[in-house]
Amino acid sequence: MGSLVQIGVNGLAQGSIYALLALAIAVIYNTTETFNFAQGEFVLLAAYLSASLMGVMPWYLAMLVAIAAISLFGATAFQRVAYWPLRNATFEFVIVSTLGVSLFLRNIAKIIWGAIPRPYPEYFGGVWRVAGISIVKQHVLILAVTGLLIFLFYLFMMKTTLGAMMRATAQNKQAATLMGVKVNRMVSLTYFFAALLGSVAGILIAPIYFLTIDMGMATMNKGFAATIVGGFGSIPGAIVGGLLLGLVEAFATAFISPVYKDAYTFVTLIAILVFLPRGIFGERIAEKV
Amino acid sequence: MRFKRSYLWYLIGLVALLVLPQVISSPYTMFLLNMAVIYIILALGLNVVFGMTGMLNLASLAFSGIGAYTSGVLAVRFGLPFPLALIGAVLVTMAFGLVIGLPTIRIGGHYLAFMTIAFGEIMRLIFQNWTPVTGGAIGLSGIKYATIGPLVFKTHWSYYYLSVTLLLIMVYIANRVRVSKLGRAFEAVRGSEVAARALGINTYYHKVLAFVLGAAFGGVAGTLYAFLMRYVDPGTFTFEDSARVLTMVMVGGRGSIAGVVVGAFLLTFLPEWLRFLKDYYMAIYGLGILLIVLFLPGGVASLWDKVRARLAASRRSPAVQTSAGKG
Amino acid sequence: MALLEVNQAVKRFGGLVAVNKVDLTIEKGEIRGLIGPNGSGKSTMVNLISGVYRNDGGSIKLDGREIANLPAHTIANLRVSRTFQTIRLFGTLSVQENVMVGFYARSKSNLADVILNSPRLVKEEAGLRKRAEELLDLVELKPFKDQPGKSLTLGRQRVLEIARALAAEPKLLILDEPAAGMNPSEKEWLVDVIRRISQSGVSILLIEHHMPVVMALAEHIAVMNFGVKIADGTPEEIRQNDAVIEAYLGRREDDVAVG
Repeated sequence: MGSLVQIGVNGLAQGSIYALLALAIAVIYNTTETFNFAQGEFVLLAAYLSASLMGVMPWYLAMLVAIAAISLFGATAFQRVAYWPLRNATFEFVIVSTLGVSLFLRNIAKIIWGAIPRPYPEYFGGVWRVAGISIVKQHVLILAVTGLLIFLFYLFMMKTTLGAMMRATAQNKQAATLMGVKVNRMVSLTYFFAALLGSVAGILIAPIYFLTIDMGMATMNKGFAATIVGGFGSIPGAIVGGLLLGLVEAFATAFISPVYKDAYTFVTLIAILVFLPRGIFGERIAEKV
Repeated sequence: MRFKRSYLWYLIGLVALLVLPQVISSPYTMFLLNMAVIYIILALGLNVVFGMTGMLNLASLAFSGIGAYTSGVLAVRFGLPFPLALIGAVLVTMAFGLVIGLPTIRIGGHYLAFMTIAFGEIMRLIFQNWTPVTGGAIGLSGIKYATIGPLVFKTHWSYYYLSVTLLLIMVYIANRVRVSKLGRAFEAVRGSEVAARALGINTYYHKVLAFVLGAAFGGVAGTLYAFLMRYVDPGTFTFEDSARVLTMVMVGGRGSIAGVVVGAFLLTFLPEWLRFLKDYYMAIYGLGILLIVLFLPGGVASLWDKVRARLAASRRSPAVQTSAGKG
Repeated sequence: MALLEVNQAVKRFGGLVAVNKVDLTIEKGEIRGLIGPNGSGKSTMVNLISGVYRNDGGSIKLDGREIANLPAHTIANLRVSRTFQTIRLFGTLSVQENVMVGFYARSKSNLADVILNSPRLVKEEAGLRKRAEELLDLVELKPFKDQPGKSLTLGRQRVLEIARALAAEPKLLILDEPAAGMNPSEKEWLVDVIRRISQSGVSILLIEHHMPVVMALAEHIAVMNFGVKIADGTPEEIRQNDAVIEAYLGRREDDVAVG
């Protein structure tokens, strides 16, 4: 029983990270109807940048600065270069442009920080033992921060004018434009959130794994998987999909075999696509006539 | 008139292809040339699926992986010679294309792209972990030199003639598809599925057909890869490389066969040409992809069209040059 | 027997009934008009007949055969062709190739012919090219045959869609607002083209907004409003029908402009 709880917490923590990425993907999909294949690089950059900054400032400040820097980068330079010029092209163009940017950023990171994996400074290490159950503190932190972030995001979307504008843009861009919503501002905001979610995920996950050049890619792939499981463009779908994948992974690893850890995600994915082709919260997509 | 000119270009290209190895002395360059051929075949396959039919397949390397392992296993464990291993690999990749295509294509749209990512990841894991068949993480070794009857393709030079022959066959097939009613049906599906159906085209059937055809290209490319390396490494068939094949098609110009050939060739050699940049070369490569998508959205093929339009305009009359340039 | 008999057709979108028990008959060789204000259900009718939407009730019979809920491509192969209100050309293909797509169902060659470039295919392709040119000639678009379809003016794109639909050798040709976005001289050209097509023996269902075009062409006109048919008769009868006049009352000037 105790071990079940342990595995559950572990799975939820992993799943929260996937959910953050899936949320970023959903936010971008809703506003721009395309994908950002450089989403993983926000994860990577925030993790490495904060690790470096810890040499010159306290860890919490280093994290905040890294998150702020990456979020602003996403909202400005990144989005202006990789998305904005292609906003009227079909979605594959943005896929390729963001792939190009992703290659660029990852290799710049490699030049700056080197290709060798290294540990992330421990800031919240250790284990809690409660009634015979050991719970990794970092997992609890992940759950708390993700929960808070999702709650704040919800408040923003539902209770603020800017959030209402974003929802309007997601529903009908033309109508939103007619109502005076400035699309370029919405795009900036969208990428700000995407980069924010990505960089928080990076900082949360870095202590569990090593810092590696491919950590962004790997995390992003899981985020995409969570997106499919949850359903495209669905915010609750992103969260549920992410958590579900994390739990499946944790339990399958514990009870079946750790060798196929990544395979479980994709088996879940296929099962979902066979039985719920549009994901748990997905809508039907069809050419309009 | 248009046809004749294109034949002339094919002839020039053919001669260049045959003469090329004679001016190359470095085995590494020859190796890269063989790799370029393999990538061109993969890109041509993706061009059928994505370039013509409009379905985004991000698992090109999964299909070439299936081709490589199938032909490798047929050669190593069953002792089949190259031609039979090739046929087996093509049939198996096509079967995979059918099995993956039938359910996923029905869902369609953006989902297909993600289904293919998922498929690619699953195949990668199978390659890596199905040790009794694929050799697992160590890979599949012991593939003998490719032979066709008395011919043995030992060096990268001789192998090049084998791969180029297959390339020409694949270019021929791709071109046949493009200029025929099949290619028109594919392009119609890409243009508007509703309109294609209204003209009696069973769009689902054609999408599956395109997908299976594309898979066959992967089977050929994978077989060429297995016999070139004589070893199959499970780390080869990554999502990133599939994305690279997509980039080749976009950079070349989707839908254009000549463009895709040039795009795949350029992108295979570009990292080598950029090696003088040392650590920066992959970063510059990424930047290059971005710049091409931003400033040459029709790819290299559109550049060629522009040059031709410019030439035609200046030939007609210098006076109408500006207006023709606009139109 | 009538060519097409729609009996009590129904289409619902959620709670909205877009087409509510509508009857429509098209006789062989006639030009049938279908008019109505925006959102009256005309295009939904077209999408029902051509198989884009599923029919939620009633029957649709072509030559006495039930075609409701058949796949769109099957209906097309029973020789029902259509054009679209929002133009749907194949953007990557030339004008001539766009028309040639329309021959698809009539073509006999198979995959092996395509790959091997068999004599049969070569002959067929040559024939189709010639036939495409003839069709383009009929609609006066031959000079543009090698241009990309999308480079044509809006009016020409609409006529190209008609030529493409004709290539499938339809018994019934459905034109969904072919005059939309056309200038007056293009509209005259369109009327001329439709008349020529009709004279070649093709039955036509003409959905229109622009009254002069329908009045000039159609022998019988059905009028829809809010998903139901409110009138059916000769142009003269329609002009004087109170329900029709009421349906169009209060609408914008260009919608009411009866020629």
